[in-house]
Amino acid sequence: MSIVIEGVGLTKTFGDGGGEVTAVDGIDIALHRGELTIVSGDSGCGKTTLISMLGCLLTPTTGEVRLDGERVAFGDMKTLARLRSEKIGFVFQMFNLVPYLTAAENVLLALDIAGVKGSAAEARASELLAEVGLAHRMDHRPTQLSGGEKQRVSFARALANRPSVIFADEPTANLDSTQSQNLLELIRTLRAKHATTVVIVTHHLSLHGEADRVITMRDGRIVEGPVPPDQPPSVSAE
Amino acid sequence: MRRFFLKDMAYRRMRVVLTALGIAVLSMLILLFGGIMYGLRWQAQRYVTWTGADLWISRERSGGVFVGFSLVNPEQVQTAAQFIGGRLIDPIAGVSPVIFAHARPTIRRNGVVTEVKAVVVGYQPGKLGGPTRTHLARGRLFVASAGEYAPEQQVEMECVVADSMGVEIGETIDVGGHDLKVVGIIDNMVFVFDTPIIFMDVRTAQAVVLMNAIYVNTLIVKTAEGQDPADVAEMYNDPQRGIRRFEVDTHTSEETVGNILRNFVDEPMRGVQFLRVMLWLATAIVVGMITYVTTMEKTQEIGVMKAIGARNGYVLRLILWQVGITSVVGVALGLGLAMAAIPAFPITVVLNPTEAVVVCLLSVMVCVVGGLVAARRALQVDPMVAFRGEL
Repeated sequence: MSIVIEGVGLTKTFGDGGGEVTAVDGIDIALHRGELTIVSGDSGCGKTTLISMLGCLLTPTTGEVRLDGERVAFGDMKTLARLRSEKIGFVFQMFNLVPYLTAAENVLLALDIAGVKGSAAEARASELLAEVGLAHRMDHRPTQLSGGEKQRVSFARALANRPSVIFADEPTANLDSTQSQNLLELIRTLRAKHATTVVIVTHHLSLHGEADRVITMRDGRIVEGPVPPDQPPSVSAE
Repeated sequence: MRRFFLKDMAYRRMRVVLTALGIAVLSMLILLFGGIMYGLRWQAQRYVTWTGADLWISRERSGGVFVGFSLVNPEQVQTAAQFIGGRLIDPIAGVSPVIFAHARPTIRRNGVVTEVKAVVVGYQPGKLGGPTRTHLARGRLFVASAGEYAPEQQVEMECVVADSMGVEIGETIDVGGHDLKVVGIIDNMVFVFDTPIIFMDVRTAQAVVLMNAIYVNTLIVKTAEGQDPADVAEMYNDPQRGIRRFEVDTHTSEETVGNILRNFVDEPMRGVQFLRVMLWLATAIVVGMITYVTTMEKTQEIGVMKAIGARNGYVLRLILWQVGITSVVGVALGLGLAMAAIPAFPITVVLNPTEAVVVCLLSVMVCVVGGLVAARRALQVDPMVAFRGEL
């Protein structure tokens, strides 16, 4: 499988002088097409910082990110926005759906940002919401949806522009066990259908069984990262 | 995109409505202040332009008939002025003596005496300076005095008054201790600050405001067709050939109007102009503050939009569309409120359509600039905030 996204020597330091904190410390990582990677570790170990850099949201202090073989120019805000719009999808712990938009409109927003408009956008939003099992809830606002439904809309939004990779930050943290199981089932289905690379940051051990790879982080470094048998080593820990 | 910012506006409708109302009130005030100034300008020019005169002759260095105090001996100047330049002077209107004086006439009704402000205009019927029969809304012209000037000559104490004085035909008004019978009414004839004009024969005016003196305040001139009034004024002002020897100045109507506007409108209204600029500034600040607070409130939402690929331009456009729509609605509402308020105003307010359009466009622009300055806060939102909480 080809590499979709790759981080080389990624380091992120916050603050300066005596208050300097290294959140991610020289990580090399490569994610393959269609792969489900779980990133786990204690709070503050640098999981979110790592996926933020890989997701082109956060500029690394040192190191570089390559997306579909293209080196990401972190200084170019327009390019970063384009990459986030076209190649990356995000699912947030708190869902982060726009409260005044319906489920369909939240998906349409992502399409509109990417420049997809009109009936093509409407059809795509309907199709995605049907895929996540919310065909009957398209005109409902986030306040009218359960936590699980909101997270499904979140996934539909993340998939809107057929991204190469989806980063999900604690997607089940605010869901009960049934909703979490349903969401896992959905992720399984979506991966099978879209062959999208998925990276999930989670504490939930129950998700580990679903993963192609589990990366464990501690103090900004990868301390554990089993390599699937048919894959070349793509994760290194210092 | 339209769907999204309209939904956002509907979601925050109370704020949008209050912002639009704020803009409306401020725009209304800006428009009304402009209307007051335009009304004053209109009134200031009204009489001078209405007379159709091209030149105004007044006492040298007196400041002119409207602004200063001018006394001219009509017999000397009128004759001399008529013969300068041969055919230059209009044979019909020629050189017309006019008295223009501020007065405080009283009106007696049912035993109650009311003092009002007015301008007395004395002129010779058939010449320039006052109405003809066709100008009257109702009634008739006063009886003109006959023959050459003679202070002892009895004159008819009659007058035509502007409708805004609120007196009727047949009533009498007291001007300078003389009772004048109102015989005619003329519409829309006012000087600045809504001062109604009372027209009477020049002889009558000399009796009531100049204690029967032989003088008038000005001589007004209609030049012959095709003549440039400025050329005639130059000829009149020529120390050798002109009428300077009578210690008079000649000004064109444009100069006279300019003098009136400068003294009665532009200088007194500087404060109002300043206030208008302050109101525009206040509008920009109000819109800017509300946009800033709204943008701050939407930090998380903006962060999420950026995280899913929105460029700064996209977010700015969303905000500016909202500011633009709110501003247009607010300014339009302000225009409506201003138009509705005009009839209730105690002074004349005239909305000049061109100026109103310019003011409205300028107001929208000011709002958008205020919003743009505040919305720049959105550019600084870090998409990482998307990870930090819920919308």
